[in-house]
Amino acid sequence: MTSYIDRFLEWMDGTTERAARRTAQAIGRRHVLASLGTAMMGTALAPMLPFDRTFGKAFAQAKPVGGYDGDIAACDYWRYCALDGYLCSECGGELTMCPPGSEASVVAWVGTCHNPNDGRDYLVSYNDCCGGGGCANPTFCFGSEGERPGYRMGLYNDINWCMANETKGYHCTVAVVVGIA
Amino acid sequence: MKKLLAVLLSTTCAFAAVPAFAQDADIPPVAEETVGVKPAIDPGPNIFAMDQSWDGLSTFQVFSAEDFTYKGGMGTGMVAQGQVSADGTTAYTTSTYLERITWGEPDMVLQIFDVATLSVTAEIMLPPKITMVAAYEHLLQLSADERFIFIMNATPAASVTVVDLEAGAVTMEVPTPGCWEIYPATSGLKFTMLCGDGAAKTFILNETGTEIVSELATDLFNVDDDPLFVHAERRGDADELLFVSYTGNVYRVSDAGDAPELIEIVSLTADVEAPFAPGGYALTAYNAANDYLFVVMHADPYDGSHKDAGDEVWVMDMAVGTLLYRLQPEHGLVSLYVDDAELPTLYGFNEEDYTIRSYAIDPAATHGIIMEETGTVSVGGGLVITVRE
Repeated sequence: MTSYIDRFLEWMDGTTERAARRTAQAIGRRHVLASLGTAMMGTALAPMLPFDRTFGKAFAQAKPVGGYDGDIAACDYWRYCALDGYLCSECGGELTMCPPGSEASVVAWVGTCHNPNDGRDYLVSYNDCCGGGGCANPTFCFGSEGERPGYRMGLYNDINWCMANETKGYHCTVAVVVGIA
Repeated sequence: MKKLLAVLLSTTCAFAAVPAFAQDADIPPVAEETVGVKPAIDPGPNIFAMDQSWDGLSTFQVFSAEDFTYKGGMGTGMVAQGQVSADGTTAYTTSTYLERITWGEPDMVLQIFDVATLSVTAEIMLPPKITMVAAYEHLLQLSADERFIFIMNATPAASVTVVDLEAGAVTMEVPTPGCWEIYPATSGLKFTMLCGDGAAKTFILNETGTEIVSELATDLFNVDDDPLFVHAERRGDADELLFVSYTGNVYRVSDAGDAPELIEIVSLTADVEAPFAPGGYALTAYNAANDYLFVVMHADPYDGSHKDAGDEVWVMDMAVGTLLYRLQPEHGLVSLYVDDAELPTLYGFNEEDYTIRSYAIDPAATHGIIMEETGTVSVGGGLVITVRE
């Protein structure tokens, strides 16, 4: 899994890289997109990787009909393995939806979390929700599994991921499954 | 109801009358007082700690390093980073002011403070790219001669804004794709960064800070297997940086040349049976007088524990690259600072109760207590602790 993310991030960095490095990284980009296509659950997920600016819309959903597969109010809920922030589900939002009045960050970081219910590892995108009012006493969770400093930006959870939104104020964080690791 | 009001009224009148009568009869006139402003903080060494807010005012707090007395704070914008000149007289912050607090046009500002008066002396508007991240020391760094200051950006593409402090102006933006944190050299307009491909990269600018003269990278570490923490120490005045990895290796890196050079990797944990690993934020501190590197360590590490508070502080003798002591503070720590004295004072930030604690270190002691807690103060934040005489 790490290699998928690494290659994707290398591609992202390449967008501002000098011309001498562009060729090699363009190859990397094509390769990673092809790999992701086979790894993820459907092509619609491909655009939802970190740094994509349409993030959060395709997967936004209300509570699942069958209920959640764990206690989403508990920081040890499996999706939160690398979540660093306030739970949006306690701020007027849902597990995968930002609260009304806020907006989803257009860039995000990812974690690789093990789902004990099916024994599989999933890529989980952590989008910050931006703007809105202050949240009343939400749970703060601090998971750092697989986390890396800013030199691996897409795995970095110390930073305000509202940075690329016009609304830059941090509100809370959602955890969205975007693929199988 | 009317009766209650009457009682209250009579009681109030009675109390009101007493001071007037007593003053007239027994107390000499009170000297007239006027409101004022204390002109400066009390002299003496200071501890600086950034109380960072993500939804409003951040404050660069100042405490006495002698007795932890609170001296005051320098107010700045949200998600601020702070830095202090070597002589302790000037402080710098970068922060964001959103037009409507949580939204609206961002003003991203470098603010310069006179520490004595805790007052802003200058402001320089920055390109709206500065990183909004937890407080780390190497996101805002002065050049060796303190004429320039380097500011870490993330949009999330990484770059460094260079500001000429004499001219009071931004001189350039250095693209630093995939590279993070800024480690200035001991001379010249030059800094090194850690990069996502496992390299360290040195950037050299011309003397006016307007052009890149050189940017050379060297493979340094494995990001997956032995990632480096981004908090680092300079080994005294030497052209040598000390990085610590998640697994407990210390990387000695020379930044003397045009490209970084790995000198040596030494292990903190090689001779320790029980599993321990480094963890925290500013998790290391270096004391030049003894050539000691202090590292926050925690037991039973796991994937994701690298920011956990440490149960112990380990001391590596860098002269020989071996573990000397394992200190056990009473409270878990996530950040350190140590002065350069032969009998050092170590400072640590306890994230659980938000205190900075000081410890007297006695390197000469062979047995028993060599780390004694000497003081504590409650703070709003202390991920980066800076002390200046």
